[in-house]
Amino acid sequence: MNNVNLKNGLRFVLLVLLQIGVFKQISMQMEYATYFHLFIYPIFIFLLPFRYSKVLIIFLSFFLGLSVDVFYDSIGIHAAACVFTAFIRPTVLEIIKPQSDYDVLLSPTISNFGFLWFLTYASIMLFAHLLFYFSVEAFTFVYIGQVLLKTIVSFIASMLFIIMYQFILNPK
Amino acid sequence: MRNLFLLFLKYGHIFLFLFLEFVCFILIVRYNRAQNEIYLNSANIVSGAIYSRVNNVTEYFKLDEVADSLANENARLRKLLYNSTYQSVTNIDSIFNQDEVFQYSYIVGKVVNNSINLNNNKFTINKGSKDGIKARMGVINSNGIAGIIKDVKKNYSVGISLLNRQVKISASLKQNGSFGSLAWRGSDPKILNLEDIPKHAAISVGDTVVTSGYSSKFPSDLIIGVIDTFWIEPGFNSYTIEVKLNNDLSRLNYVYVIDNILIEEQQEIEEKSQ
Repeated sequence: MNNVNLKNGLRFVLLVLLQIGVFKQISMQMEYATYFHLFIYPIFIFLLPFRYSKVLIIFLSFFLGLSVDVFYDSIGIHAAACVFTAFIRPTVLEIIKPQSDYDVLLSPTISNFGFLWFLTYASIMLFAHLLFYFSVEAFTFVYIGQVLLKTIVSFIASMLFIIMYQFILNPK
Repeated sequence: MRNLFLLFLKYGHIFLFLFLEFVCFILIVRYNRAQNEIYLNSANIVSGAIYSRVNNVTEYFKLDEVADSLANENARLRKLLYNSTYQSVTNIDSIFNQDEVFQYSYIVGKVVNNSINLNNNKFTINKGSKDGIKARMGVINSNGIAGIIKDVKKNYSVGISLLNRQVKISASLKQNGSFGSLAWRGSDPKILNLEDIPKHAAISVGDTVVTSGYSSKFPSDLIIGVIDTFWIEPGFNSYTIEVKLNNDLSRLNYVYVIDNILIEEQQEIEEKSQ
């Protein structure tokens, strides 16, 4: 029990540091590609164990988003997207439920449910997260085309790193 | 109470979700300048729409007051009416050309509405079809040409001013008689562009530009203005000339509408020879 909490706590810190220390810098280096943004921190929300309650997950996500916001100078925007992603998580999990039900002691990872399942799960969640994030960032419906373009470009790039993260830090 | 607690237990995450999104919204609007501006703008649009609805309703209750004040105003205006009668007398003056045949007669009108800062400027004069004005007649005043009549009603007519992108006027140089067409580019109300003057013509700054008389609307040799600057665009066979208007179109007052009596004859023979 404590082991799981500790692991998630460490992951929280690690992902925020990775996001602001590495991926933010990469995105900023490529300033000519304005549609290109790398977001890896949402994987924290994806990987929270099944046993955490919905309320707790939403709270944790809110603080995750807020922590990232502090470094992105965009108070509230990442937080809003994180809260949204945390909110849809149970629904998404319900939709792609495998034939055997979820084991409450586990977490939704590649090692537990296989690569294809995780790819589906993470894709839906990340796409929803990015779409919500860029919509909130634009804050108006006027730039819907740009929002979609940003979402798609950033989705493909971020997805690669999220899968990579899973393979490196969660080996079987 | 217990039910309420159970309800919260079951749907608590939805409330929490909505609450936190609301908090985020406040934070975003509070701490992000771009989003804050969008928020304020849309808020103004929404509140503006609501205000105008409210205004519509309250206006209805104020109708009594409005009717009273309108009646008072009517009474006041009726008193003024003695010296604001419509001028129904039209002064018509005519000149003879050299053959002592009437060609142009002039109808005096007063400009009652005018614009100079649009893309397509127009003016309204207080003479109409009952005074003999027809569409496509030229309009001048004492300083030069002003425009062309476009629409005519019984008592009023609307002319498109020289400062209108639809207008092209045949103009020539007084010095050597070479002619081109005069058009407005839509920026400076004192400057018009003279095009199609061939580049072998000798011109200089300060040359007088007059009407050519080739169009049936204006007699020849009416002053338009003087050459301000000119140059030749690379690859063109004609000058680009900027003409400084002699006439100040922002101060049109009394104008003369030109009635070309022989216009039908001219058009008839021109059509026949085509």
